[in-house]
Amino acid sequence: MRPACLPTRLRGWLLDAYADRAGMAVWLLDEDNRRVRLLDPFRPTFYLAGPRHALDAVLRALPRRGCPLTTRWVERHELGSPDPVPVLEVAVHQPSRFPTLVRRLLQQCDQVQFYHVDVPLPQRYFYERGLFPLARCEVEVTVDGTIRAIHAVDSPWDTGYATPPLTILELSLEGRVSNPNHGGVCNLIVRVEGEERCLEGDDGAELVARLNQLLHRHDPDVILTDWGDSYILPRLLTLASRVRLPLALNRDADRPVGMQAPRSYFSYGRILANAGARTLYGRLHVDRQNSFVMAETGFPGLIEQARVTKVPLQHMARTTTGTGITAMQLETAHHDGILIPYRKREPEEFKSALELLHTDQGGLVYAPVLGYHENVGELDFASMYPSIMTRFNISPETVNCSCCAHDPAARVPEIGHHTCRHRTGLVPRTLIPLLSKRAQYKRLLAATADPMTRQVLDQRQTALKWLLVVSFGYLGYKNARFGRIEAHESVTAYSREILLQAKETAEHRGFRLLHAIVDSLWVHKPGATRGDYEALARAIAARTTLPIMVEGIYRWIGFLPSRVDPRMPVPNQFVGMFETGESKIRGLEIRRADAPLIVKKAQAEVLRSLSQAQTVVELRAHVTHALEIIRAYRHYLQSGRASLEDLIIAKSISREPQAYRHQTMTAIAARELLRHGVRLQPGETIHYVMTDAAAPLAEDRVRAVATLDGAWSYDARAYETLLLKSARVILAPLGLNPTDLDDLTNPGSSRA
Amino acid sequence: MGRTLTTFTQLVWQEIESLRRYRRALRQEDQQALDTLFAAARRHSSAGAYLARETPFEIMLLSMLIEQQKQLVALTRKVADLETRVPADPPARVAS
Repeated sequence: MRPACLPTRLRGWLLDAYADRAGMAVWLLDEDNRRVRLLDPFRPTFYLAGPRHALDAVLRALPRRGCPLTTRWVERHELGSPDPVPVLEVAVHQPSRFPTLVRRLLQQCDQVQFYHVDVPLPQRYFYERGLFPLARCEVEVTVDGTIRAIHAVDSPWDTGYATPPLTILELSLEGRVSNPNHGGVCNLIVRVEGEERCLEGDDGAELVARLNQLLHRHDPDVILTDWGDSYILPRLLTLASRVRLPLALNRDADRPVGMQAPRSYFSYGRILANAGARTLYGRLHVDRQNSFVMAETGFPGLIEQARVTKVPLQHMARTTTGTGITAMQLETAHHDGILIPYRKREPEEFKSALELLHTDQGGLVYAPVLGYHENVGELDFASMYPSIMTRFNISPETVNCSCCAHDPAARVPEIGHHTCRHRTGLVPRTLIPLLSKRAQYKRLLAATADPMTRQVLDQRQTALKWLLVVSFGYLGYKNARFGRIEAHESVTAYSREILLQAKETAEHRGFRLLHAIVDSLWVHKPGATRGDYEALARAIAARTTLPIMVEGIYRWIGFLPSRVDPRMPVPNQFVGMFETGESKIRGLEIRRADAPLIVKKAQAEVLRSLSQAQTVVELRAHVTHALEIIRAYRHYLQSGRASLEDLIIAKSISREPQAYRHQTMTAIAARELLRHGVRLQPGETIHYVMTDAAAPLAEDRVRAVATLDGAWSYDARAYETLLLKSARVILAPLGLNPTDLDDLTNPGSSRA
Repeated sequence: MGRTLTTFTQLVWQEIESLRRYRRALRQEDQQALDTLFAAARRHSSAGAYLARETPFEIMLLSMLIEQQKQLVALTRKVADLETRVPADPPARVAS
């Protein structure tokens, strides 16, 4: 793969970079469509501060044999402190030794502060060279493939960048939708350059040989899998070692496949599972089933996030969005000569803006006015929290600065904090280019008609939206490297003030506030036109100095009652029909991952029927048809013809199967899987059907889908109950009570 | 001049003032209802002053209740009056 004679100048895309003995290994996809491995003699550094005797002890402890180091005294800044501090800089000549060296020092020297030790080396390398994943670069190389100079010719802030012509090989399991680790046997499907093959697993040696053949023939840049991290790759590697055939998954033949153990973690107030990782060198492995960003924004979104955050693609695919935004802050700090303190790994517990609303009373929420309303406008502040941080300069080091304590213009509303009026903070400086890039994408989106281009633009802007959303969660996060609770409090205080100002402006202009959550308002005025709503948005923007847009005008919108107490309204639970004919639905089964397909289908059909109504009076007229739909679905359920697919309930388990104290359906199904030898970790999703929900014996109530054999039946009554609940929430505000709903949709009832 | 004790009326005003942020965060329609209640609370300031308590809030609540009670009596009387004039409708049924 390393050509005997290289030209001195190469142009191409940066595919991968990782620490090697003599520098960073850099893979380039060059303009002649070659994949070239180069070496950049890069020496990563870290910094130490502390009492002289402690630093002397570190110097003595530094192993020089076999791992050359260079040390020197330099001056750097701590975040928010104007005076530089002298620190000892240690440059490591062999990047691949960096992590071990640092780990040993951290254990031995507890009197010393460590800086820049735990920023992943590929990121450090990208910061120093001004590079980023999939950057287009120009490289000057010597004959033996050593990089003399490398620089990017495009910028991570370009919106019109070209992505490299990547060869993608897909690996998946025949016909699988649910987690293969929970049971079942299936064949391996390989898709590459338009061809699809099914590899049967009967003869292990032959399977490995055929896969190797495909890998050599197509030499893919990306291996895209479903369940690759937890199932396919581990099993292929075990198989390959059993039949004693090396599997050529890696492009860099000197490296084994990278491994990371599975883990569970807290994010957005929920427990999530990460299925571990199998990462490659010189080639990229992405598991669609183990990637938040892939699920939310697809490959274009993943590339977008990797480019702007400079987190290598394989890592970005598997990590939280929070790691991405933190990486961006680290880069800003690094370029400013600010020391990056070492952070002990502690469980993540950061929250998004909307999560904080429940736990922290961060943003203001107005319970909606229950029922269906006509001619309602929804106004949304664009990226409210990040906009507040940049507009009011909120950052850990700018809040309660020493220079602006007596400046009334620096004061944060409601609370006693103030923010700096002189120096722009680290967080705003990181967010400003993100906000403006997202705004550019949105403008491009508005001006583009081609559906393919639109999809890519939308995925890219969504990828940036996620980075912006979590940027706030990290501001007050106690373990965040540059987090501070006062900064977080300042953002929420501004947000409350701004929402109140928006409400007052609306009410002053004769609008009624129907609902509001943190950064969105639903308002109504009889006879108001789109122009009136647009004018209101402009008035609010003028008063608050923050951008706000009309999300849309609803022909009608229903704010729906609580399933527990029908008198109580629930924030962010509604069904609305825009003037354009599009609908917007929040909090209903149809949007929920755990609702069975049959409930979703019925609800979708009911909503489709209601969507024909132009007014609330017409909505009431559509109730009869809605009842017919529910009745037909109940009939279908009672007939026993519903398919497994219709009935599957997917739930994520919040703890180890043994740790459940109550006999919930999820607990019963999880324990059934456990009995079948399936290992489950908290955060994993399991699938089950209700077989006899009221059975005295817990094991009879539900069955895990993965363990189902020929003989099983479902509990029609239990599914009908779910069906009725999903209909009640929509129809109750139209005047239908639960008893009538049950009677009128019962296939056997005379009232129907 | 020379008054050293805060009058009850002033205490009521202070209490209302201390609820300023609460009032601001209410919807306009609810603000209007609250203002009516505050007006009721102020209506019986002289009785409150005569009682001479330091904390005005429970007296304010009582004053609000007095006004509500009066209104309730008035409305009950009005409904009874209307019912004698109009024959009662059968209760309305919904949907189906």
